[in-house]
Order: sequence, then C-alpha cells, then structure tokens
Amino acid sequence: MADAHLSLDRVSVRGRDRPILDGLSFTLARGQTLALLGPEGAGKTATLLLLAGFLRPSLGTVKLAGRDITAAPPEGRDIAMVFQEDALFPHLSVLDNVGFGLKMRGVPRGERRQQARAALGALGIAALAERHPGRLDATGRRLVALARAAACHPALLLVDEPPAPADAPQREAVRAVLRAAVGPEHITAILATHDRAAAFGFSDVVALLRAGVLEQIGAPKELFERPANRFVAGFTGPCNLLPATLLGHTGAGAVLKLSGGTANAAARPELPAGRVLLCLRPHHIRLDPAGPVRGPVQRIDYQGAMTQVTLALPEGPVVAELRQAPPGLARGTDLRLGWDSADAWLLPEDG
Amino acid sequence: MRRRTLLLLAAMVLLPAAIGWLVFFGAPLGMLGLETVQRHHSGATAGFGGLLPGNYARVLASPLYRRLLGETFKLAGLCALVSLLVGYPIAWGLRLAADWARRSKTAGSLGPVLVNVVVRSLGWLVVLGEFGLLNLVLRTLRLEADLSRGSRLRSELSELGSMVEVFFPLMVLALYGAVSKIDLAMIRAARNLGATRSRAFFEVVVPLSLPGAAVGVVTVFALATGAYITVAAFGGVRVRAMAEIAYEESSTLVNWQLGAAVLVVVVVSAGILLRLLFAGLRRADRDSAAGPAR
Repeated sequence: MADAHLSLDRVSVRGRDRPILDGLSFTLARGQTLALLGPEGAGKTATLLLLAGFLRPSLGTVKLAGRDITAAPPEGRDIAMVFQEDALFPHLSVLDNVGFGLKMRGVPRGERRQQARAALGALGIAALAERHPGRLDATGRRLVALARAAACHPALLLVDEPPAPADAPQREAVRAVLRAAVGPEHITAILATHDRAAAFGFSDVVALLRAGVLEQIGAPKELFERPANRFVAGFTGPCNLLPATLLGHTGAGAVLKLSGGTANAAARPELPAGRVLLCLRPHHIRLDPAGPVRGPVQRIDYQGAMTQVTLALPEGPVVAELRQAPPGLARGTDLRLGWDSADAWLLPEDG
Repeated sequence: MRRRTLLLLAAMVLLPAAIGWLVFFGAPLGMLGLETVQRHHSGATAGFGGLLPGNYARVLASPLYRRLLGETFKLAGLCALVSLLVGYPIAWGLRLAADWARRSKTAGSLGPVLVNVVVRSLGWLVVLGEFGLLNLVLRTLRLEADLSRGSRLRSELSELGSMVEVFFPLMVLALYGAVSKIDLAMIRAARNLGATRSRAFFEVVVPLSLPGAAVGVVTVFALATGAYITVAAFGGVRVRAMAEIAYEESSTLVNWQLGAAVLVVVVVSAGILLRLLFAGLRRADRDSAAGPAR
C-alpha cells in the first residue's frame, strides 16, 4: 500500500529459545484501527513494545508516516501507549499525569493544563482531574491512562489490554469509551487483546498472531468467514471441521464428496483436488432433507434464541445451531443437514 | 466492648517495646539531661541543690564550641550529601540489576556494614598515613614536595572521605528501600510520553525516591554528627568535632556535666536543623504540586 501510515516489513525479535516475533509484516492506513488478536504468548504485547521502541527488532524495518523508526528511541517516535499495568505516575495528580506528555513536548503550563482537561473531558472523566491515581478504581485508572496517551495526539495509539481483567463490565465500559474516542478523531490505533469480541467490535482490521507468527490479517468478516487455516478458524469462533474429498470446481463453486452425497462449497480454485477440510460455522448449518450428510442426534441444548444440536456424523461429531428445532426432536432422531455453498469454506487438509 | 478489647490488645503488644524504650533510651537520656544542670564536682555546690543552666551557658558562650558545632554540622551535612550522591547510582544500579546479579551486588555494597567502624577507619590509616600507600606512591613518583606538610591524614578531606565510606551503605539501604518499589513500567511510560532517559529519571524516579533519600540523609547526618572514631583518627588537632569534645570532657577531664551539656546541645540543634530541612522540602513539594498559577 502506497499510502500506508504504519508499515512493518519482515520484523523479527529473537527470544531465548524461540523467536518472540518471526517475520511480521503488515501495513495500516491512516485513521484505521487494528486489533492484534491471539492467545497468551502470541507476541501481541511484544509487537506493541516493539512499536513503542522498547524492544529492538533483530531483523526488519518499521516505518511510521513515511519515516523509518526502526532504531528511533522511544521518546522520538510520536507513538503513545496505554500499558497493561496502566503505569500512572503515583506522585502526580490525574491532571499532571495527563499533561506529562505535553510537558515533555515543551507546552507551557497553562495551555498544558487546559489541554489535559480537554482530554479528560473527552473521555467523560473531567471530575477526576485533581485526584491522585492511588485513589482511583481500575476503570478510572484505565481511562486516565487512555487520556494520558491520547492527550499528545500521537501519530499512533497503542492499547495493551491486561490478560485477565478483574471485571468484564468495567472492561466493556472502557472499550466503549475507547471506541468513541478513537472513531471520530481518526486516530490510528492498535489494540492488543486475547478477546475475540473486543477485536471484532473495535477494529477495521484484525491480525491474528500465534507464537510470534502472523497467521492472518484482514477485516473481521474475512477472518471469520474465510479463515486461512484451522487455527484461525478455531480462534475466531466455534467451527466444525469435516474431512471431505474435493472433486473439482464448477461455476457454482467447489464440488465435494461427503459421506451422504455431494455438496458445494465456496470456490477456492488454488486447492488441488483430494482430501480437504470443510469448515462450517454452527449457525450456518440448517436442516435439509436433501442434504449431503446425515446422522443421529446425540445431544440437544435449548438456548432460547436457538437450539444447539450435536450430531454424530460418519465424519465425526458436528454442532449445529438451529433457529427452530423441528417438532419432536429427541436424542437418536436421524437428521439430514445442509448449508449455503457460500457459507462452506474449504481448508487444506494439513492447514 | 470490642473497641476496648482492641485497645487492650494494642497496649499488650506495645508494652514490651515501650518498656524497652524507657529503660534503654528514655531513662539514660533523662539522666543525661539531669546531669547537665548540675555543677562540676569541684564546684561549690553539688547534687540537686543548685540547678543551674551554667553548663549550657558555657557551651553556647564559648566561641570555640560554637565554631566546632558549626564544623560538626558542616562535616555531617557534607557527609550526608556526598553519601547521597554516591549512594544514589548504586541503589539505582541495584534496582536495575537482574535478580541473580542483585544478590551479589547487594552483598558487595552493604557488606562493609558488617565490619567494625574502628577497623574500617583504621584501614584508611594504612592508605593515607604518613608511611601509607598514597604517600609511598607519591614518593615513588618524586612528588615529595607535597609531603613537606606531613601526613595528609589530618585533613578535612580525608576525614570526610572515610566518614562517607563508613556511612554510605546506610544511605544505599535507605534509598534502595524506596527505589525498589518503583515500577520500571513508570520509566517506560515516561519515555513513551516523550521523556529522554535522564528526563524520565529526574521527573519520575527522583520524586518517587525522595522519601528514601530523606530517611538516608537523616540517618547519615545523625550518625555523622555523633561520629567519634573517624574524627579522632583523622581530625588530629586541626579538625575536631563535638562528639570528640564531649568524650574529652567526660573521660579525660571527668567533667561529665559539661560533656553531657555538649551532647544535649548537639542533639537539640541537629533536631532543629533536620526540622528546618524537612519544612523546606515539604514546602518545595507543595509548591511543585500545586503550582504558582493558583
């Protein structure tokens, strides 16, 4: 991308026994928000620390707004970070915490205080200005940390979510504020999280990391509906993986052979004919008297808006979420299942 | 009822310490105070009959004592200051050291505390004495001209140096206590917000370690004020301190009353000095927190 605001080119960071980051490349346009998603130890925090200048890449380059910042010191990057541990200065008031970045940039005192107040006001916490960080609850500290980072109007805002936040509603509140703050101001931002819902809801682009390797990057919908491999499919949501045989491609898409007949799936012409994995999201599966797979019901979980049904197919167990369960559904009932070919996604067998 | 039980419990817990304090600290200090208002045994009246502030008058009126008091405090203050400057990088270095390295580095910097003050002070004699290492080196380098003034032991500088050597581990200990609580994420946060390495140190680390520095300064200042051995070893006739005078009055001249008065004057004036220092610090702190634009 020519107008990339941020670009990483094959960035690697060496670790003790395995690379912390391995050949990480992606670009981000101005005003976009990216979510770094992945399990513990995937390299999310490492990526943020690298961008902030606290971790030196052993290979690769990082560019921000057309400038190579690979070797720039943390203070010379115009990147503000909200740390996992908030890291508010305990000896300064909330207002002075938020004004710290402006002070370092030489903004005179009066103006600094005014801007800091504005940054607090933008997040709806102007009332906290005179308090000390030690007197705040977790949500308050998080919001102040956010205001402190945003107050400098950085070229890039990094937000590192703690791995195990104490309180889910608090976290939701912080995220709502974050979304409201980042959206209208067109701040380019990166959120590191292990929570899929947060990543999907927050961002224009999601990058899924595993063990320092970028597994896939794209719009949330793309990752969910067109996962690159088994790991992405599983991490982005519940997914049934059925072994199948790819017979070939027609105008209608891929043609598969399953235990109960042939079926169609979304086209993936790059896959050679032979053994593949069929990736089916539970809510895409429906009852179909002419469907290509069939098996007895093993388990029924009524969940209000839908009924979760587990079937034992010859391919293996499958979970389907049915909007309306057929009358008389019971354990042992034989059901035939089908799906829209556009919702069925193929993965290479070893993916 | 519950409140009373708690109070009783608190009293029971505190009682042994309170008794210990009274017996081992309060009582001797009180007796020392009483001693000061009595006449020397050679005087006309002795005992409680003639309670006179005469000893204090003698101490405070004497230009010699006044000068020595000033010199004692100057020396103690310098000692505290130099210890602070020497101790700070060490404490901060310990903070930054890896866990495994910290243990040996701590032992290295605090180990000297385990060696007796006398031994450490006299150790300097070997280095700085008339036939010591330093003079030997100078003589070898044909710089004898400087030696004509005799041993370089008896100078304020060597006295200050040895006192710093004796007391700075305590400063390191006090500073480390404060510095070890500073989350290194603070420094990252400061640098992330645009502070250079040194700016982050002065804006974040220094203010956060101020309480430890204050404890260290008080400890070193108080101990240096009462330092006797190093002064005796290095001060000679030219540099003398109040602790030495007190010792001389009490032991050599057997005028306990005057010796005690000297000590009380030292303790009280040291207390006043520290009081002023902290008042100043608090004021500076308040000013920087509240700001002039109010």
